[in-house]
Amino acid sequence: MLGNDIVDLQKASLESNWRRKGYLNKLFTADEQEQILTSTNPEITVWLFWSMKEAAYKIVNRETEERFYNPKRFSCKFNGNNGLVNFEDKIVHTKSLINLDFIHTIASITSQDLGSIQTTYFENTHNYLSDFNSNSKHYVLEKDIYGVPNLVDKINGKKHFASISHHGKYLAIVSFVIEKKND
Amino acid sequence: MSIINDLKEIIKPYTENKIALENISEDTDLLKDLNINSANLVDIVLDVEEKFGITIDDASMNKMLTVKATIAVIEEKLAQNAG
Repeated sequence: MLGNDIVDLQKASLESNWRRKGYLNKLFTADEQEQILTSTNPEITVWLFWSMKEAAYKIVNRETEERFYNPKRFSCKFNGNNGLVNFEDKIVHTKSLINLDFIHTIASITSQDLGSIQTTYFENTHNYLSDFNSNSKHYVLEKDIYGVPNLVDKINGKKHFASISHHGKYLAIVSFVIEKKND
Repeated sequence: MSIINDLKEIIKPYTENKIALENISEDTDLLKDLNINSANLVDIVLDVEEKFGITIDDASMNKMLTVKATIAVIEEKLAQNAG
């Protein structure tokens, strides 16, 4: 099982005022709030924690098929360069890429799986599915009736978990099987 | 003014889907139908608190993904305030 979340930093700074009264308190645990406010770049820390929570939510949501909005149920910790997100008795492992444009977090149930996750980035457009599929030799990216994405092997029809996230200008597709572009 | 009309005004700045907003009903899903970013749902929760003078706890926010659930939370909290 895997998940991912991407935050377009420019869009986030235009559309969210995390300094708004009550904002941090509704989304982040006391410990996370302290880390945000004492960090050298609070805004980046806000969106880093946020993307960790969202990536972990995607795993929990897919396993339980339950939708909810309660980001404080996911508590984030840093573990070296990676992250750990606690949800009830579950631990989700995360790894984030931070650059000037976006923060992208991938998540999995085991830390070993984290290293196997393949990511491809696209421009966030309406035809990303056909963009992906026209570049993909071995797999077709499909969404089921619930909107849950899978990569389907063109030869044997086997389905592999995929996770899609998009925000602003950016879109990321992750799975354990996406081939490299030069395969 | 009904709660749904107040809610429509609150939601307006957070959705680009003006057609879905015009057709808002109890069945409208804030994320799926109005394409509201999940990082802005909290703004709607905070705006609802201010507009109606209520406090929304985490367990209530947990449910606020649809117009129907949001109205139910507002009505419940208003009743608690009155009682």
